[in-house]
Amino acid sequence: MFPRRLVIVPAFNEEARIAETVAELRAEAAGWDVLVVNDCSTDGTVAAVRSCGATCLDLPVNLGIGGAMQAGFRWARAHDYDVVVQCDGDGQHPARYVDAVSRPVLAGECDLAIGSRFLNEGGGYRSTPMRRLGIRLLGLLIRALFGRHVTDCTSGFRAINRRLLHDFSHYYPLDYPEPEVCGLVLASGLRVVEVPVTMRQRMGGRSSISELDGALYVVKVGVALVLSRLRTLPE
Amino acid sequence: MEPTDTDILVLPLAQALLTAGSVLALVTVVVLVRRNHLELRYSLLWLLACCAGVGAAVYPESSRIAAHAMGVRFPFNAVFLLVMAFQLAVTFMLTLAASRSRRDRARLAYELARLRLELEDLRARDAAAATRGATAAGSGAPSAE
Repeated sequence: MFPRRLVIVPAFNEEARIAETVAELRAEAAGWDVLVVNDCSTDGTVAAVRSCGATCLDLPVNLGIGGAMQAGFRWARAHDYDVVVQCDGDGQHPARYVDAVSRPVLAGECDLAIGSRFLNEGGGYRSTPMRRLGIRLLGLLIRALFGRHVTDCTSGFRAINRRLLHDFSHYYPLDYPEPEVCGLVLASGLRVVEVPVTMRQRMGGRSSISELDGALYVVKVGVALVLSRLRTLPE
Repeated sequence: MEPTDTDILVLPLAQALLTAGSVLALVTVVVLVRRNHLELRYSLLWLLACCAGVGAAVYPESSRIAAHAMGVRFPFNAVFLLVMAFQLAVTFMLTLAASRSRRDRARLAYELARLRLELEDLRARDAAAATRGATAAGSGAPSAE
């Protein structure tokens, strides 16, 4: 039987770009359903999503990226999807890579596949030097704690299978979830694979960590990673 | 002669103020619980603290006994230590409640969003069915519904 596949696009004030992102997904990720999770945007994000006829889960309060993603996972699980890809709504993640990111998951080679901008020799946008330094530090911490090198642990372009869909619909970190999820998945003995992708510079909206001091972000996520070494995903 | 720590605690004015303050706090907590403005589960620690305050005011020697039991030389230090422990306990309880509440909030937000989406879907289907019915009635053909 053909697997049921869903792309979840978390969106907060992405009015400028969301319709284009959905259109690109429809054109270049054929066979994938698209769910936009509107995280209580204050601009016209919902209207933009509805105008292009996409399914929109409209949260009544702002939950942050982790809460929005978990809402999407719950919806995906309730609708019996087999594989889910997370893709930003600001145009950073080209839709043509959706199949590539999900391929190892669909092939049963891993539970979590991460689209890494640092594995692609072809270049593309690789974030600011300070952020790259932070990502590198977190990558080193993951290697020290879990013995596995993850080059782009903050990447929000990732795919998960049914097992993780089940787990994440019960528990998903609410704050800066991407690196912590890497830790939790590895601590649970599950498989993580990275796939080379090319990313673009964001074309609209705001980064969920833009207002945070980068050093504080690395410290907070570092502590979360150390704690994730002590626990596993709740069944 | 310099007053000792215990002497300061038993000054009549200090004792009267401590008694009045503790009784007032106790009455406030009880009234808030009665009016359902404060959950009983969160009020227990405050009730306990108010009772301890009243006890310490009415029986000032209790601070010396507490200090002795805790192995602290000066009763004042023992009182400060107990108050700090109390504050930490309250803060910890509140962070636990906040964490639980945040998870509940996320679940409720999802359920509400899901219901909204299903309602919109049902309304759209209803509207489509009504349009089909009206078109069929207009053309004289039997309705598909």
